[in-house]
Amino acid sequence: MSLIPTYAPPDNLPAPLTYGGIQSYTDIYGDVWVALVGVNGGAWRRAKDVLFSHVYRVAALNLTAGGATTLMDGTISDNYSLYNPGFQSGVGAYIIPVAGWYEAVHQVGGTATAVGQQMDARIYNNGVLMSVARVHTTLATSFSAITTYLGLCNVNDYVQPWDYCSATIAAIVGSGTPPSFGPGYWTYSILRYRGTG
Amino acid sequence: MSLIPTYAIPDSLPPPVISGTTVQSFTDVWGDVWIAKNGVYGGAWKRARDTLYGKWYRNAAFTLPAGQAAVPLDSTTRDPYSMYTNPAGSAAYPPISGLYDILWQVTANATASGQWVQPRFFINGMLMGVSQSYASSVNAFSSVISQQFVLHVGDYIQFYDNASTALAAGVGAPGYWTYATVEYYGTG
Repeated sequence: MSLIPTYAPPDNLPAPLTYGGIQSYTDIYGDVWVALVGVNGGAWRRAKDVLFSHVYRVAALNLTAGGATTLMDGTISDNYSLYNPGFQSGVGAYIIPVAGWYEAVHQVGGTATAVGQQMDARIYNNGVLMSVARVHTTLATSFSAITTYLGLCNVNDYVQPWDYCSATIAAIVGSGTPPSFGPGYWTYSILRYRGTG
Repeated sequence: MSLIPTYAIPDSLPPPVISGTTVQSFTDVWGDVWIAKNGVYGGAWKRARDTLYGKWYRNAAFTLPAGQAAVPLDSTTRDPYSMYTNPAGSAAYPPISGLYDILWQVTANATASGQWVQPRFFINGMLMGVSQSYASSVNAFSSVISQQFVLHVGDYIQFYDNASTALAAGVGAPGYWTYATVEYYGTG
């Protein structure tokens, strides 16, 4: 072993959580840690390492003319339950547990029924449109839109993936059949904590 | 308060790695993951979150065939730990377990309106990412995927396309048309 220290002076983390919801702790170096009962035994983990959610759409869904939230009902990763499908009576949202800088990604896939149809992937924060990408189709077949968002969020902010279409379009949903096809590669969203901002 | 230190007592990194060919990892007592490889930064240990990143692109002329095929990326912007070791299969191999970001963009030069292209990526041979764009004129058009997954040592990511017809890819340096990135984000 050499004598290269990774970090120097002391700090103490709180004890592992045994009750309640997600908690955060900022150490004396400014690193943010999170813990949740039942996740890693309630132990504290750096938020940058673990505060992450990847969800997708399983059940059939019609993307309606005009805008609506894209409700996700399948989970690839979401140890800290960031995504709440029951939010606002079932429209769904990510609920921010720790203030900071977050990255969101939202892709929606749809099956066009006519040439020239339009589809948006959108991301809202607290009901305010923050990011949008728009595509048009030149064939009546599958197409997709993807958008990303980087922004500062406060505790209990709600971040929502939306779609917005020129006509009713069936979303491309669900999973393929393993081993060749995995889950949620057409319509999905991601939220990840990136730091204190 | 318990006595679990975040950055308490000094920890010691192993000595630089000066032999072997594989990436070595070390998790310090505070849970930070470090990596080292013989010949990279003199074998010194670096935080994985700081350094484990790769970006590759297609430089030489390439025809995206009709249907699904690997897109060999023949140029590297950055890949200090050599994740992309199988260009023929267009495959990258994460050397440590953790949460990774995967970005894959394909650009094609349409020869007629209505042509389409899908970037696709596979993890361990399973389709995990796809998107699709159309050309509305005889011009370049692009499609991109951005996803994040927890991956493990031995997993591999492959960058493919699926096109409606054979199309010339958008290529060239420094790789803004057809490229892929893989980035380690944390332990996941």
